[in-house]
Amino acid sequence: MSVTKTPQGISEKGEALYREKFQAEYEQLHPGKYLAIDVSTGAGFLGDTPEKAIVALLATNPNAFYHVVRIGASGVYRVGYTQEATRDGIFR
Amino acid sequence: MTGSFDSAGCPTIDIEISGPLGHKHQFTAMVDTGFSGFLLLPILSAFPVGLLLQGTMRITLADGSTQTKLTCLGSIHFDGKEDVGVIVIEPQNTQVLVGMEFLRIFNLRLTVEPNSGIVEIVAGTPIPTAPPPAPETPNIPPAQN
Repeated sequence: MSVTKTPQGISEKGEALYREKFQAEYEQLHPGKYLAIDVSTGAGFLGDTPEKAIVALLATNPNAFYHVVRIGASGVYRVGYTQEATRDGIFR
Repeated sequence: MTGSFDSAGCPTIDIEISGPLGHKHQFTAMVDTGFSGFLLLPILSAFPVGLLLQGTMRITLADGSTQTKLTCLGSIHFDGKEDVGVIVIEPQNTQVLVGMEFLRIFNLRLTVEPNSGIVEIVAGTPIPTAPPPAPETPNIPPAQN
């Protein structure tokens, strides 16, 4: 599995892995929990909190690039603000 | 612990943040109960702390749209305690925010009185711990008649 080079690439790969490997089963079995996905290996690590999922992932691969999903939710966290769609260069 | 109101009238507290290198950096953070996470930090503040930006996640904005953010693990030091949580990295130069996960992880109660200028953040109600498991009944063989 190829390694992504940009934050947007990590996120897109993580979302794709989630849809392909985890979504159908995990949204039935683990709604509301958190999944950290190693985008290099496709391995997923489940936790009651996002930090627990990330710690479990980093315990197996400390240098992993990962994407975190809250199962059944569009985002892991909510914020009380909105932003312009145009951002600086990091996520382009 | 007490905090203060910033020029916009929002409650703020002083915290320290550290990453894997352990160096603590002081920040004034807005306490934002509309943010469900632990800590939101502008990217230019993340570099001096030495945070390892290895992760991404989507967050949901107030209008229901989502945005991808860089993320990492890091520690907040507050009131003599340290706890690890997920730090959301904001690419724009915004204010440092602590949210509901910060209050939950540190088990804090926030009192805000704008008319009196009071921002107070104190230990919350102790979380009840589960009772210890009952001792196992010794396996005594039935009496022989």
